[in-house]
Amino acid sequence: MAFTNHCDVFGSLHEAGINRVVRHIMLQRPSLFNYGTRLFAQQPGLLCEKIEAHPEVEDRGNPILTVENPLPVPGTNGLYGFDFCVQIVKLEIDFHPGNVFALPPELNPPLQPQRLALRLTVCAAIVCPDDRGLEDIVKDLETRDRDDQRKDDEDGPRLPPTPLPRGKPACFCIDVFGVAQVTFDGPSGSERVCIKLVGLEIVDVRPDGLETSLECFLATTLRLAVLPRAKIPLDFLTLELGKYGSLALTPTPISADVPHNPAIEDDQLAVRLDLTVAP
Amino acid sequence: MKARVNTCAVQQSCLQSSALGVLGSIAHPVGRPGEYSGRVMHGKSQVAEFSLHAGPDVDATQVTIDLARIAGSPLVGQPYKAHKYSVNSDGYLMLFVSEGLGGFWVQLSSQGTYRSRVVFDSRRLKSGDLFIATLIRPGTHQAKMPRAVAAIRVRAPEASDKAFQPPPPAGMTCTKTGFVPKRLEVYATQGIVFGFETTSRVQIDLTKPAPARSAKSRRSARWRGRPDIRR
Amino acid sequence: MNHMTVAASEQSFQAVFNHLRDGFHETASGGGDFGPFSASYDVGVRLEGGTIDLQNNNTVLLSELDIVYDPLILRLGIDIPEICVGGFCIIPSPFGCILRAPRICIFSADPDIQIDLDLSGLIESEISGTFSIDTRYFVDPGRPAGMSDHDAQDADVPNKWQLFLNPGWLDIDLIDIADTVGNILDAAIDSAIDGLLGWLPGWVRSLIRAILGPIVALVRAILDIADDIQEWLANLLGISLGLFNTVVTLVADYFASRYPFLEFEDPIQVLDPGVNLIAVKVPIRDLDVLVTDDEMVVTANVGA
Repeated sequence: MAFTNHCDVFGSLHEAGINRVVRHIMLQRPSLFNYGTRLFAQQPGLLCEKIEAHPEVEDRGNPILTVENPLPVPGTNGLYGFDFCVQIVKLEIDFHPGNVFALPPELNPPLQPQRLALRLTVCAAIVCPDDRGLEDIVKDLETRDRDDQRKDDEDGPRLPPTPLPRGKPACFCIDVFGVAQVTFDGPSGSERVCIKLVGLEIVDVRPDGLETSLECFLATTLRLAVLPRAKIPLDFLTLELGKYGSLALTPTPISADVPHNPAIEDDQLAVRLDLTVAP
Repeated sequence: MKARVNTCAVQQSCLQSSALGVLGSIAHPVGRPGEYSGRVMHGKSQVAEFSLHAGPDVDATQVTIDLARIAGSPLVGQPYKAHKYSVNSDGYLMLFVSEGLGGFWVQLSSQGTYRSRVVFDSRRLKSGDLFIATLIRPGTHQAKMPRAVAAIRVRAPEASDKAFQPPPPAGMTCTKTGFVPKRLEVYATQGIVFGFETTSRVQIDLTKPAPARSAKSRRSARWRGRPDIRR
Repeated sequence: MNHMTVAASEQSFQAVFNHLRDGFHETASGGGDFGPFSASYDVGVRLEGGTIDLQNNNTVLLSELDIVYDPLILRLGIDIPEICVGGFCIIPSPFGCILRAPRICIFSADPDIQIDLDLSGLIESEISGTFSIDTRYFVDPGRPAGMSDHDAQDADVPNKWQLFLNPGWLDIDLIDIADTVGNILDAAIDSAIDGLLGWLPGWVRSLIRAILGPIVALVRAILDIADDIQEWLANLLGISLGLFNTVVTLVADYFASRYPFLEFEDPIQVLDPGVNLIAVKVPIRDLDVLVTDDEMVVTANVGA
């Protein structure tokens, strides 16, 4: 059966290929997978895992991690915060039928049709302050409490939290599994394939509430920060066939012949496109 | 692309046997074997000379000399004859002018043992000599000899499907009593051969040019389409 | 198993081909000397139409690609015979002419008259042929050794994968020459003669035309045109001047080596650049193409 039986242009990417693509994105856009406070940007040796980056990233002065504000210490009214880092150090994709890695029971294996599985290794750390530094901060906070409370209440904190005095980062790494589906996204003629997270599971964290909270944290980070910036353009999936020939390619509508588009099947992501001849 | 026109031929309105120009030529029968020398004159000046050998052993029945061409030779004026010609002693010396203003006349002298003798002067044509005129301008021309005239009407060729071929030359004789016939009608480019029964000279003048007709040719070719040409 | 598979239906391939075809606009010129006349041409060629048929033997069949000659100027240089008078026999004899009048030439054209024929749109021809698909990896000669891929992209000298249509055989068929070409030649001849003679006095023009005879017939004789001007023109353009071979060569060269029908940079871009962020580019390896009855299939691997 021809690839283009029900469409004009067909493009597919095997899971072995997409994992190579992921590897290239991690090397050339490390700030998409590494987050931390300015301390870690200035001293990357403190990171949990050394960031491997393409030489061009350094040559052109690209950031190797995304700088975030310190995590506020509750009760300090946002005045002080923890230095931290979060790193996705490994990301693997497995298209249906899942045969690269097994899903945890919480994600209801086996991998369902039209789904892809994600396996991530996430490392993170907060920098715990040393005791002497904390004592100075306590005195400072007491002073602020008498004089500045009403002012802070009216105006709110205006500056990012000041990082707590330096301590040591306490790194940990966890394995995370996820299940996602793919859809088209974007204006007509400029569609991209985007990955939408369906479920996330961290293995063996107790108590359950902590696990659920961490899963929420990671899933939200993936949904808001990582996945929207990692959409796959159709030009890539079609090796720019439409671009060079000035073809107007749009996704083939769903029908009985094309029940899923984009589709995940046979260990690959496939897109089917129709040709609209430009005037 | 450049068109070359023999302007003297086109513009010529007077032909004279005594001062040869384009479109006029003179044929003189040599008559006797021997060695001859010729002087080419333009007005009172000699502009060329030649030698002529006439003998029964020479095959050529005609020697043709372009007076305009030899008059331009750098050898003019040299004491030794540089232009040499040969003709059968029963043949003809043909003198003509291919281009230029003309006005040439020629004397031919026989070279005797002790002296030379003028045997031919193109200014006075005698019995046996021929003056050949080719008139190209349509209209009415007048032929003149001393004390006689004749009218020559030159007709323009008719436009036709074929290229124009002039008829054979017409003839006119210069007699003691004048031209015979006194009227002649020819086509442009058709030759007229004047014979002489008396010593004379001939001059032909254009007296009334004919009005020009339309210059466009009649289209006679039609192209028919042929479908289905395939290599 | 290849990492990437891209397939284009016959209709898509036709659309890509049409785009390529529409970009074709070439010019050529040529000429030759054929004795009594010379001929030369200037031609601009465009392409229209053409049907693509993908074949199971890994080839692409092209049918009925129209050649549009826009413009096609044919220049004929013709030696008009000298017009001379005289030369007739004065004293004939059974053994030949004893005395002949000299021949005096009164008109000649040096070197030729030139007739320009505008044949634009009057000639129809078609090209058919088969193509195989050629895969090439292009390294821009302007790219310095050791230049990074991102720098090469910025300097517009990236490496590229290119797919070309490589002709196996090409055949050009002359379909038709319009009937009006005869009248066009006719009018051009008259115009050329008028230009040549127009400055002369009227009686001279009349005389020359009469002596030459019907100019068109004369020129036809010089050009060796018999009854069928279309066949004559076809032979002149095709065989004598090699116009059609030239056109075939232009078309073949255009598709085979000048303009690929598919081209993309290597490495290929996956993510666009951002503020202080380089583009993310992925190397493509092992590009291969297969043509079947239904589609063209391109396979490749993502490089490590």
